[in-house]
Amino acid sequence: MLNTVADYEEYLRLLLDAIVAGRIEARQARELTPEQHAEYKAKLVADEKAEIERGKAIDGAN
Amino acid sequence: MKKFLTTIGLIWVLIFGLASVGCNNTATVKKAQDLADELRAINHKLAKANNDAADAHKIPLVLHKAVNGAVEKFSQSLDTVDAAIIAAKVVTSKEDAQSKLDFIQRLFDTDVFLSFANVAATVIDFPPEIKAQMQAILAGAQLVFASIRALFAEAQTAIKEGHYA
Repeated sequence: MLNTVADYEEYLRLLLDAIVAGRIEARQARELTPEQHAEYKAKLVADEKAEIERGKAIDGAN
Repeated sequence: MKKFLTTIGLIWVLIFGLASVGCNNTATVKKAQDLADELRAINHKLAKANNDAADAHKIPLVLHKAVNGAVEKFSQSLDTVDAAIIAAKVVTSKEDAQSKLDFIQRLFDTDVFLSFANVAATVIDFPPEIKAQMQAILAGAQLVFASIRALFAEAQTAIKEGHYA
């Protein structure tokens, strides 16, 4: 749990790492062919929605 | 925290919702789409990081719920942005393109950045010692804002040169 400043720092670092990773992934995706990119985009949206539902399940289960 | 995340979400929504309307040729629309996709990828990673942290019992559930709620709202807004970008591929005239872009830039230069400045001031739920780290997250968002500014500049140039449709 977030009891200490170090705990907060770790959580924030996780979020910041996520931002950086997302930017890198998106920039790499721009090199794909249009067909590949369409597939990537569809999967990205599906994965994003699934992750949000996973979050709701975590909240609902507790 | 919730207020902070909501504010961040609203800023992104405002920027991209408006930026999509202001894209006035195929090249700029494509770039707006790239930026929106970039935000989508970021949003997905944020959602996963937040969920993983909750699964590992590293964060309070109330915080997890707040972040997940913000992520969901942002996702819905990106859905709207995707649709708006498709619609923005058509403008009716040079004047139409110019007025939309001028309006967007006015908002962008006032409300958006004012809101963004307020974000830093509303980070009240975190210990003062970690506000520097919070700034790092804001800086991450600023990188995206910089891309949007460049996009606006390109769109203005395109309109001035007559490539508005």
